[in-house]
Amino acid sequence: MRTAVRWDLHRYGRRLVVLIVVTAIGTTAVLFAQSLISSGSSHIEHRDLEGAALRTITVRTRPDRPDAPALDDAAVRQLSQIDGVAEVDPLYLSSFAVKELDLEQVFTAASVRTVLPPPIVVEANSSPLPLQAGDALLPATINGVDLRPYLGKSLPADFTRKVEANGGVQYRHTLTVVGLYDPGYVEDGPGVAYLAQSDLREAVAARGGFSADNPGAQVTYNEILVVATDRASTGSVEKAGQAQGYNGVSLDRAIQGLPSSLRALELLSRILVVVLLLALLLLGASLINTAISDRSREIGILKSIGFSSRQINRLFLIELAVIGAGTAVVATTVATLVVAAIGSRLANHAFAGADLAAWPLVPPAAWLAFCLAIPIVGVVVGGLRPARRAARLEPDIALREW
Amino acid sequence: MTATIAPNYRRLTATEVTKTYGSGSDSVCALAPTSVSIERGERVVLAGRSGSGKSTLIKVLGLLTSPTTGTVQADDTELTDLNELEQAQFRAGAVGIVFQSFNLLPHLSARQNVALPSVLRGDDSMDHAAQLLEEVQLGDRMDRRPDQLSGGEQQRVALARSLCNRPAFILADEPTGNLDFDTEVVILQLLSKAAAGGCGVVVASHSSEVSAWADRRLDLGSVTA
Repeated sequence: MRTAVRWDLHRYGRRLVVLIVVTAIGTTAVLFAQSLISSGSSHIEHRDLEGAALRTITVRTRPDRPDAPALDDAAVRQLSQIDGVAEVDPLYLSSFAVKELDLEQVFTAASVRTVLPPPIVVEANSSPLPLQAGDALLPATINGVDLRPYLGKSLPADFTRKVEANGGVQYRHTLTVVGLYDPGYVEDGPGVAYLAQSDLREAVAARGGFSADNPGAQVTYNEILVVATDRASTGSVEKAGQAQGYNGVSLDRAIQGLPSSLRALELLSRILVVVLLLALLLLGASLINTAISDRSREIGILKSIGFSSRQINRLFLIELAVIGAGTAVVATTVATLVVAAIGSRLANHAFAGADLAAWPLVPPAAWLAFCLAIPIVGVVVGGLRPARRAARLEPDIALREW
Repeated sequence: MTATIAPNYRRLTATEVTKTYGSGSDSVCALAPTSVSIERGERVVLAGRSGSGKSTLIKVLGLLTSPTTGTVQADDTELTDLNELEQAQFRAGAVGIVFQSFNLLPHLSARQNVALPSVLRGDDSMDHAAQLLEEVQLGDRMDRRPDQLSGGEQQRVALARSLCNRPAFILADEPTGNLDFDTEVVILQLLSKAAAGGCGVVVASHSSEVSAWADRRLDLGSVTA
C-alpha cells in the first residue's frame, strides 16, 4: 500500500501548490495573531505596575499629524502648566559606538526615566542614580556579550557631530560604567545605554549641529514623560494634554487597553482558524473530487486487478494524510519565518500602547502544534466522503468513465 | 460468512447470464442469455459481431460487473453471491484481465504496472515483475512509461500484469484489436504459453486469426436492442 501511495502522490501536482499557498497564508495569519497575543500578554506581565509609573503619561511625536505641537522646550513648559502635573521629564535618544579591542558595540543612548528607572543588578559604587556627567548605565549583557568585566571602567564612546548638510565627524567622549541593569528591562528598547541628561543633550545637539547650551529650543525631544500628582489626576492630565494637541497615553490606560485589544485579536484569530479549517475541508474535498474525475479510470484498473473498495479508500486517505502533513510542515515553516520577518519589520512600532521594539514575535508552541494538525485534519476530513464515493465505483463504470 | 477465495479453481462457468443496462423503455440489453464453461489450460474465443455481448461476457466472468440474471461459478463457488471484498479477492488471485485499450497506469513504468497486483498482496519486490517482462521480451524497456512504448509493447505489459499473480484464468477483451498482424501473432503466442502453463484463456475477438488459434469458439448472437 505504501508503494502504491508513493507512486500516486506526485500526480496531485499543481493542486498541491494551491493547497500549500492557501494553508501558508492562513497559518501565517493565525500564528502572527497568536504571536502578538503571546508577546502582548508577556509584556503586560513584565511591566512595572507599581508606584509613580502608573501616574505617567508618555507624550510622543505623531508622524501622522504634522500640525501637532513639536516636543520642544515650549512643549515642556506648556505641559508643566497643566493642573495636576507633578513633573515633566523630556527624553532624548541618541547613539554611540564603543570600539575597544575586545568590545565593539553600538548603543542606543537614552536618559533615565525618573519615574521608571531601569532595575540595576550590579553597581560600581553606592547608588549610581541620578547619573552624573560621564556616567553610563549599561545592560548586563548585549547581543550575548557579558558587560560585567567593564563595570567601573572607562570606555571611549564615539558620538557623531554634524559639520555639514549630510556629513559629520566622530568625536570621542569617555564614559564610566557605573552600573549594569537587567537586560530584560526594555522600556526604551533592548540594549540601551543610559547617560546623564547633560551628556545626552550634548550628543543630540552635536548630532543636529546645534549649540549644546540649549538644544531643547532647536531639537525636539523624542518623548516627554508627564507625571501626575496622583493616579486619580492621570486621566484629567491626559485629556488636557490631548486637548492641546499632544499625543499622550497614560501607562495606566495602555495597560487597560492592551488586554481588550488582545481579546479582539484572540477572537479574530479563532475566526481565522475556523476559516482556515473550512478552506482546507473544501480544498481536501476538491482535491479528491478532481482526483476522482481524473482518476476514475485508475480506480477501475486497480479494481480490475483486485483492489477492494476499502483498499482504494485507504489509498486515498493515506495520500491525503501525507499531503496534509507535508502541507502542514511547509506552511508552518513558511509562516514562522514570515511572522519573524514581520516582527522585525514592526520593531519600534506600537501595538495597543505597547512598544513592539522588544517583542520577540515567536509563535507559541501550542499554536505551532495546532497549525501542524489543522491541514492534516482539514484535508483528510474534507476528502473522506469523496474518497468513499470514489472507492465504491463499480469497476466497469469506473473504467467507462475516463 | 466469508467464502474462501482460492486462486486455483479448475473451471469457470457462466450459466444463462444476461446483462441489461438501464430500466424500462430506456433499457439496453448488452448480453442475451449465454452459458459458457472454461477449463484450465483451454483456449476459448468468444466470437460475434460488434454489440453481440463479447466484452460484456468478459466483464461478467471477471466480476467487473454483475449479471442482470444468471450465475457465475468458479468450481462450486457461486461468485455472484460474493460480497465486494470477496469479489476483489477473486479478481486479485483467480483471474487476470487484459483490455483492448491496455489500461496501464500512465504515471507508472512498465515494471511498476506489472508489479501492481503483487504490491496489492503486500509484496513490494520488483523481481517477479522484471521476470515477467523478460518473458514477454520487454526486459530492456521495463523502466519506460506506457507513452514511451508502442501499442504492441503496451499490450505485452498488460499481459505480463495479468500473469503477475499466477491466475487460473486470463480474460482478454479484444487484446489484439488495436495491433498489427505481426504483433497479434506475438500476443497469441504469449497467450498460448499461458494456456500451456495451465491457465484457462478466454479471448473476446472478432478476428478470424484468433478464432483459428483457439481450441474452442463460442459464437454470440447480436443482442443489440
